[in-house]
Amino acid sequence: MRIYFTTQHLLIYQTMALYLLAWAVYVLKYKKTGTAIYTLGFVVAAISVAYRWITVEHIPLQNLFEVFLFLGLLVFPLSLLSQKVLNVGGYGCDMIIGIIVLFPAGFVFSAAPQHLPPALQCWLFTPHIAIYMLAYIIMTKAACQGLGGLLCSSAIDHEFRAYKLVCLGFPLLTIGLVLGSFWAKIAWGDYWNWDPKEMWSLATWLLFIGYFHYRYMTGVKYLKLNCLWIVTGFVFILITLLWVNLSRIFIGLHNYAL
Amino acid sequence: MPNKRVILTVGLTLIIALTALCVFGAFIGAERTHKAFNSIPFAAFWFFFVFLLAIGIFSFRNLFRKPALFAMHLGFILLILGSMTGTEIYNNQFASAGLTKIYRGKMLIFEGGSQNKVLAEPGTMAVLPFAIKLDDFRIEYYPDDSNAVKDYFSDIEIIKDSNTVKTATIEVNKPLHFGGYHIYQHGYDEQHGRFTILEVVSDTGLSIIYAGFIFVCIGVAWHFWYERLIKKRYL
Repeated sequence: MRIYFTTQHLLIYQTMALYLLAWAVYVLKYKKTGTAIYTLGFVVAAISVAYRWITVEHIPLQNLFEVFLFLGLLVFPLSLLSQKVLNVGGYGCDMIIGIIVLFPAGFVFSAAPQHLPPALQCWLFTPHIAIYMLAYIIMTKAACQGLGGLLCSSAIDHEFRAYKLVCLGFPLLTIGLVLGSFWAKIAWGDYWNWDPKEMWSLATWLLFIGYFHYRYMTGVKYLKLNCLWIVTGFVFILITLLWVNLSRIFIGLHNYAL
Repeated sequence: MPNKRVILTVGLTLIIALTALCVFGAFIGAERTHKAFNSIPFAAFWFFFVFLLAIGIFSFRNLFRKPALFAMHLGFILLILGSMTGTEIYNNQFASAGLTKIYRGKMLIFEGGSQNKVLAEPGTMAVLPFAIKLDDFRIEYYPDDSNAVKDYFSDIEIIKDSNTVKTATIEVNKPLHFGGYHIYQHGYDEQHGRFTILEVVSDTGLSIIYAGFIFVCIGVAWHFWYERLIKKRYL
């Protein structure tokens, strides 16, 4: 972990600073000013991704650095989307998520530019990863609501917001998985390769399916347990995205993503 | 017909069991997971899963009345059945019945030469009903001094009854689909670049899988985005 003094990293630090400032202003109840600073943070995040795109000459979704940079861009559109479509706010929470996802990009992961290897040169590269990242950031927000439900004495609102967010994110999780499988057939010859990352992402998908069936069975009788399913789903996502790529236990076809 | 609650409980148990097995599979590595999930005892698990899904569709009127719910559950049945027809065990049943279709294998072709023999997985030679002629094998590098490979290409012709029926360039991420097989760029002569190695994979069962993908995706998007979030039917 270290501080880097490159244009790319300074853009990341600037985004983080703006998100933090936006959050501070937002929780002090200056909601309009906070949202304006948040918008500005999004603009810097977009410049940061665009800068990376120009540097590496391909859509920057190749490794963990680029993926986390992209996640930092997604929080703002997600805030708007969940406000408009789901009527779920939580801007303050999204700003903090933005800072957390940009942290590893800014201080931990290697930003060395890489050429796109032949296996990644396919039109499915962008949709497969971008859709997954959108799903992951939505599920992160859902898990925050779920955690709120677990910790608060009245879980009913948190539980319902979390459910709506999972309804938004789950189809993306499905499409990401299917696109990945479809691509695997084209690139590797098999639509399923039993690779650790595939197994974890399938487990994540099945876990959310389990959640939907459980919620169908018990409804809102056990709100805390509904929330626990979603938080567990988030833990699975974290493992799929990070542990699989960073540990030596899970060697497989997806390892170039480091 | 068993009680709905029983079906749901058994279904949820199967989903949780499969989740746990996937996690277990992630730890034991791809090769052993592949073997385990395609073993005969596991086949019983898959059949039971399909059986339960079928019972579910007949017992729950919603699964029948709501096209979105029906599509995603039918899609899942198709995925399980389709993947069974894509397994080696299933394909070998046909081989023993005399219907020879190569399951998968590799072929080595020299530049200017043609080849119809495939080295199948257990080390046996099989013969394709057509031959592949390699006109040229090429490697493209990134235009800088990094020496990084951009792509591998095999310019080939498909020859049937000594006539060229198709010319194509196979590259990574661009397999050729011909005569019930997908043909992939797999390897090459690393010393002199004089031959290519292609991988030949049977497409049996693939259309069922793709149909399953489409049903699941459409069903899930329709149900969760349209019915739940847009129409706001939460129960």
